Amino acid sequence: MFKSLPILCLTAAAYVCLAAGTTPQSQGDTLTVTKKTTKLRAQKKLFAPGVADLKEGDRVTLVSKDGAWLSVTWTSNGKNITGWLHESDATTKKDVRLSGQGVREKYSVSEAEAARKGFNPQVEKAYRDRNPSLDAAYQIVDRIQAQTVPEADVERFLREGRLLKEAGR
Amino acid sequence: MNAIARRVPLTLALFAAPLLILVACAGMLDALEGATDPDSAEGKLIRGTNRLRKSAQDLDPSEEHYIGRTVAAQIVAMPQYKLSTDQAVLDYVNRVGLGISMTNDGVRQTFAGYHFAVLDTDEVNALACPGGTIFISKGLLSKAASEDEVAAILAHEIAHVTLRHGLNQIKKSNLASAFQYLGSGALQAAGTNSEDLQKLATVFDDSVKDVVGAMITSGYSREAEEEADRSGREFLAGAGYDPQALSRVLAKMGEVGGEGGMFATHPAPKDRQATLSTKVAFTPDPQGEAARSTRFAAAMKP
Repeated sequence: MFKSLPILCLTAAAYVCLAAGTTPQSQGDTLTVTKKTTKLRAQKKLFAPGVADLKEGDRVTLVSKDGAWLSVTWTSNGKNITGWLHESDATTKKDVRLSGQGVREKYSVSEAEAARKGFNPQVEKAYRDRNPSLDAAYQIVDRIQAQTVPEADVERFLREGRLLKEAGR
Repeated sequence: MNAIARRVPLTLALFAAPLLILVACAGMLDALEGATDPDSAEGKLIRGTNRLRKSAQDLDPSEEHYIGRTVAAQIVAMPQYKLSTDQAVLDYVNRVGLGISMTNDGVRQTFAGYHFAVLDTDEVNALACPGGTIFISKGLLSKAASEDEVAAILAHEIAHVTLRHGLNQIKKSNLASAFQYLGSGALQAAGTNSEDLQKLATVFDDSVKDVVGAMITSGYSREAEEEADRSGREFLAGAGYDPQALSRVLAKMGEVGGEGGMFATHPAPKDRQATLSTKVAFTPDPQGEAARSTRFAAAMKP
C-alpha cells in the first residue's frame, strides 16, 4: 500500500533535479578529497610545487574548473589557501565512502561513519582472516605500495630523457 | 475495486517511471532510500532500483584501492608470478610508469597512486590491478627494444586502470550484492565480526575473483583492449614518447608469437595494430632518443 505523499514528492523532485542537471561543479561547491594524500598545487600540473598537503576526507571549496584541474580553497587553522587539485583527487559526492586511512584527527563523526561503510581496511581484515595463506602475498603488496619515488626524481628522469620538454610542461 | 486499490497502479507508475529514468540522479535516490522505511513498499522499490542502477563506477576510490590490493595479492600468490628482485629494473620501470601517469591530465589519479612491479617470469604478460598496482613480466620487458616501447606497454596498463576495466569485470550480481551493504546503516554500526561485515567480506571475495578471473584467464573484451590501446597511445604522446612505439611492440609480439599470458587474454597483436593504424604526429628527437637508449641499456643489461 502506498500512502506516502512526501516520498512521492521527493521522487518528483529527484526527477526535476535530473532534468536540471545534478552534477554541476560550480563555484562554491564543496568537494571531499578522495586520495589518501595529495597536494594542493601552485599551478595546474602534477609537478607544480605544493601550497598545502591534503588528506583523504579534507573538504575544499571550488573556485573554478579548467580542463582536468580544479581551483579550490582549503581552510586550515582559519587561513584560506587556494591552489589546484586534479579532478580525480576529489568528489562532490556527498555520501562518498572513505577508507579512514590517514585522515585528520578533526575528522567529524559523519566522516568517520562514512569510513566504516565501504570496502575498507575492516573488510580486507575480515577477508584476510578467512584467507591466512595470503598473508605473505599481502606483505609483498605492502612493499610494492610502499615504494615511493620523489616527484623531483621523476621530473629529473623525464628531463634527462628530453620528455618533459616534448610534453610542453 | 475500492478507491485505495485503484490508486495503487497509478502510484506505482508514479514511482517506477521516474525511478527508472533517474539512473543518474544518484544523490537524490540515495537520500530517498535513507528516508523511507525499508519494509514499506516505497522503500523496497527504491532500494531495488538503487541496486540495479549501481555500477563499478559507483565504487569509490578507496574501495577500488582495497579491491586492487587483494587482486594484487592473489596474483603474487600464484606460483608462476614471483616478484623480480632486480632493483635497477624496478627503479627504471617505476620512473617510466610514473613519468607517464604524472604528465597526462587524462590519467585518473588513484587513491594511493601508481606502483609498478616486475614479475620474474618468461611469460609475456602485464597486469593492471584496480587502484594502480601494475605488474610487467621480464618476458614482456625482453620484447621491448627501447624505453619508448617499455613506456608503451605501461601506458596501455595505466589506461586499463584509468578506464576501470578491472573493476568493470565485477559481475552485476556481485555489484548488486555489494551495494546492499556498502553505505548501509547496518554496516555503519558493524563490529569486526558482525554478520553484515562477514557478508560484505564474502561479496568482496566474489568481486576480487571476478577481476582476477578476467585478468588471468578470460581477458577483457576486445573493445576494452582497443580502448586501452588508443588511450595508451595518447598517454605515450602526452609524456613525450613516440606514440608509434605501441605498434612496434605489438608487431614484435606478432612476429615472435607465443602461448599463455597476454597471448591467451588479449586479441591477436596484428588485430590490435590495425586499431592503431592511423599515425599520430611525432617529431623525432635524436638527442632524446640517445639519452633514453643509454639508460634503457643500463637498466636492462643481463
